[in-house]
Amino acid sequence: MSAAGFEAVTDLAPAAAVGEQPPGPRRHRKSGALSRRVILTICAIYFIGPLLAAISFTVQDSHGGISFSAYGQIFATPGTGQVTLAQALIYSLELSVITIVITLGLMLPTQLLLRLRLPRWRGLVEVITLLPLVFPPVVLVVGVADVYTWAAPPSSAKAGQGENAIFQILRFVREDSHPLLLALLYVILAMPFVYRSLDAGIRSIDTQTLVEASRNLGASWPTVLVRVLVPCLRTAIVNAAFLCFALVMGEFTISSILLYTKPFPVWLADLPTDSGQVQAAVSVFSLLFVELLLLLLGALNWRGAAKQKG
Amino acid sequence: MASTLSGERSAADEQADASGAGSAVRPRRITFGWLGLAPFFGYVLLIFLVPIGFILYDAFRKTVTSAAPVRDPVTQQFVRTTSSSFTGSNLSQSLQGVYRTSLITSVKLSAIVAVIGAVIGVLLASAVVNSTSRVLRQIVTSAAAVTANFGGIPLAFLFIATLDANSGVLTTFLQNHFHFSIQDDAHLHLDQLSGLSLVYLYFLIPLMVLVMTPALEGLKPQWGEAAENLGASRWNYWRLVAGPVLLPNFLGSLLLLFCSSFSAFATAYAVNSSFPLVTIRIKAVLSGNVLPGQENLGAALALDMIIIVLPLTIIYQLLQRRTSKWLA
Amino acid sequence: MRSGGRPAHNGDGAFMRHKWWEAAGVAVAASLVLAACSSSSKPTPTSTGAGGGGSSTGAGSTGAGSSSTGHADWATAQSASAGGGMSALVAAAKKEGTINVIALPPTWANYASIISTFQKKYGIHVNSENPTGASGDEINAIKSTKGQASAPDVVDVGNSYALSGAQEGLYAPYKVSTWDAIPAAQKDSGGLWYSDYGGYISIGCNTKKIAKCPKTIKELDNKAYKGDVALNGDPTLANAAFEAVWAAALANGGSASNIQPGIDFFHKLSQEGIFNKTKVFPATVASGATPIVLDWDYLNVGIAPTLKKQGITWTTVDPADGLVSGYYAQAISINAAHPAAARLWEEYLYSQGPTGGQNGWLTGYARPIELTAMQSAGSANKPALAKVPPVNDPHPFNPSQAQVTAAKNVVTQKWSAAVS
Repeated sequence: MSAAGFEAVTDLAPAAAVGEQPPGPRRHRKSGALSRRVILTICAIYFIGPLLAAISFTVQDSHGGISFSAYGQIFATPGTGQVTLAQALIYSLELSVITIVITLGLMLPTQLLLRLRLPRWRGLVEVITLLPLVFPPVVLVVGVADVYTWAAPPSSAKAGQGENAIFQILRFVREDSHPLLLALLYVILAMPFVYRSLDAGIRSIDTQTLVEASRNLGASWPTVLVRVLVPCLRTAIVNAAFLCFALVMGEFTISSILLYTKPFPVWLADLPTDSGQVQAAVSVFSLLFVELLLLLLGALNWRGAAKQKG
Repeated sequence: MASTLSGERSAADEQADASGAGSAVRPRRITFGWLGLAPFFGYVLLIFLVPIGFILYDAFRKTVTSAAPVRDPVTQQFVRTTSSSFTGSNLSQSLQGVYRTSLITSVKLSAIVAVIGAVIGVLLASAVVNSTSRVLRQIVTSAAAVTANFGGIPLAFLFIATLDANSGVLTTFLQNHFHFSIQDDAHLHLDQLSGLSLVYLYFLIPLMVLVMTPALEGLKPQWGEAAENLGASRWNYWRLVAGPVLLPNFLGSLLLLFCSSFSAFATAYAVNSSFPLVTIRIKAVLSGNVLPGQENLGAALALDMIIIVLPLTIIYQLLQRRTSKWLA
Repeated sequence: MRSGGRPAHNGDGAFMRHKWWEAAGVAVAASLVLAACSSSSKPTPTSTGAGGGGSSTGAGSTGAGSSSTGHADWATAQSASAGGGMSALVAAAKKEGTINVIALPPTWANYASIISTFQKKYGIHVNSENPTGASGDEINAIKSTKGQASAPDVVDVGNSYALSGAQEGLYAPYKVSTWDAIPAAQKDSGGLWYSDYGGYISIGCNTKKIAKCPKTIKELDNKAYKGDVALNGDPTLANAAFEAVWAAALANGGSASNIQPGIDFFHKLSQEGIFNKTKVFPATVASGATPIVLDWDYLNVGIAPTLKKQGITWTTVDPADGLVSGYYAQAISINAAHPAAARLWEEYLYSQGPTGGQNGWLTGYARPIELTAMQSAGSANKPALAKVPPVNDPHPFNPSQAQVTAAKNVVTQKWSAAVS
């Protein structure tokens, strides 16, 4: 916050230089710093307050003391044959990597193309990317179930008989040994957010000039993409990836209805307990834990950014 | 200055298209473009539009089962004498009575929280972007990603633990120390529109922060300085420079927030399971415990949701085109 | 690719070593093929198979297929003896090695220990999928997982879904050895579904927050309970909430053909600020946000021990003025990936021994469907039975299916307007 004050002081110089400058901007600048503080404080209270209330509920024991036993249950060893916390985490991390790779691989080139070459298509693409957000996820899941029902052989046929090519593909996508179907659906779920995040980034840089300059200097298209555009879009890409990651680490409806038992959010929700404290502890844990993971990833991203600059 | 950087996009691009400004493959540009978009359209078609198409097709069908089913003596299965026919009755039923009410309430709630969330979100995002503390930015960005995806019973419980009339921490504290009742004096009821809006903002504000941060970062500090040097007040700067640059993004994000709360379900259901929302109606028929055999109605409700959102997207596109023109 | 001999690895970590890139590559190729298929050859073989009314002809061909194989085909066996006897069933189930169950919350009617007992007894891994799912999810799962190793083998659904699923041809007929002990009204005569356990709508109450706990539904209408009375969800979505509305109807002059007084009653409670619309879940019960809860008695009794540890005494009473019972039903999926294990699971659930499923549910405070037979045979677990709330219900409330449907339609249309 002291930095903000410093910034305001340095800004006095150009204002003074203009001479007849009314005191308006200066006052506004100061009030800007103040209002910034007010906004940050209010939001901090709003976002942290309920979390603290929930935490206070999870740690109180029956004698009025404090106990963290509710959190202990999350780390308790599950029965034999059950998924462990580590397995669930690894599964979800894998899932989020696949999701992020597909999402960025699909959306980044598409959106750059729209910006550079095909602006007329932008409207259509934007509306399409918004559509997944129009329905509750359960609609998409039931739609997927409908596709499987449609493609499946009649229920009277014996397993493995009368399957056509479409059903065999669908069955492969759905198999439990890999989370492919979930990843494919998560890409769709993430699309509205990723599109907007990338779009904001792409709008804020002068893509056209950057590309022309690089091309004129003899850079190939992949080089332009990787060495010029991606670094410029760093914030947008990181935000998009974070969103995907947080989505995968929090999505429960689709994965549970599709009978996946291993993703981290499903695993957490299915902890065998009827203790309200443990359930609340689980939500607090998942919120803070995923946040912590993202902070770590963010720190890595910083390092990367610093290296690139240096 | 603003316009060169972002505003006149479409005009510039169209020009670029016409003159082939880029040094890349000129004659086959259009073919190339089509191919470039093919993965996106192909993906969306297969993974999203086909499943949704099945659902929407169901909205126009009604399955009629014969009153007295006959059983196959060997397999014990009912010999199905069902026939399905095309009908508009699901759709008309989905626009009446409780379904109509829930559609209206959903739109109302979503509009309110989208506007509030967008405004607060932009303010928070700009406060963060303008802050020189890198740690703060990092924390806010990651926290926003997580809370933007937070919802359902866990989110509901945070607010129940805080504001519930019987046991909320804040409720009890104010009651005991100030004899102030959140419910009776502040008229904030968690299970009503006001309370639900408060809960929804918990994931909408972060969403706004995430999608607006890159745009706000695109505002160069030099513009502010230049505007200031030219004698513009802060207000003028926002109205004439930053505002127009951000407007398309802001509108798009507003729409995003609207849809995001429009499709939300579990959070509202946990806070007030009888709140009339269209998503709760859909959940009841598609994935409930009480009403089997009404899947077609659920499909019709999903269709209603699209019908409501599509005009909004069209309005948004028109607005965007206008702002682009105005900036050019 | 059906996993005849190879048990499905659902519990261990083997899945992780699969290469995504392989998977992703095949998927991309697959989607291209799929795109080509769907655009070029519209009338694929499936459209004739799935769309046509081929149910009866298909059934015929299956019959021929099964008779041609020499071994017992458990997928079509309609009883243990028809498949070659119990020991053959156990052997076949053990060979399958796994069973997929769905929507069985571990803390619900003692399912955690029912599952672990079955695992121990037969050495068959129980893969519990979507434990918190609703009946509707179970039906969707049967439809969408044909041919998958994860396809649910058995379901535990609300009565309406038992009937609708049977109509849709989703269940395989099977009659357990104790079939005769199940009351005739509580099972499908062809063996497509059979009720398993149930309970009464009860009033759970937090004595720490409530000075005098209500004993009847009528007593809920008391200003002292302002903001206290909650339901386990919305009556159009949660079965217990729907039956609670019906119980309220009975307490206020309603009947099997008239649920309106129940809606009116909650309208009044809502007007007076007594009705608390928060959805009940363990955390709201523990935190005191929902001090009075209308729910199945086995759930209200079941949560008491955990609450006791947190210093909360939770009492349960079945209200004499609104005795409404509800039963869930078992059915075997027609698409079961483990048909023998599925049938063995049912045999286990309906066995009356001390470690059988019937006493398992009873230990979870639910009333097993064979309870009457067990009481006369003396096989019911007496200490467990003593903990189930007593009811005096000489004329059980038993609406017809048409009445149930009518009541649900009334509640759907009128509920949210009545309580908002």
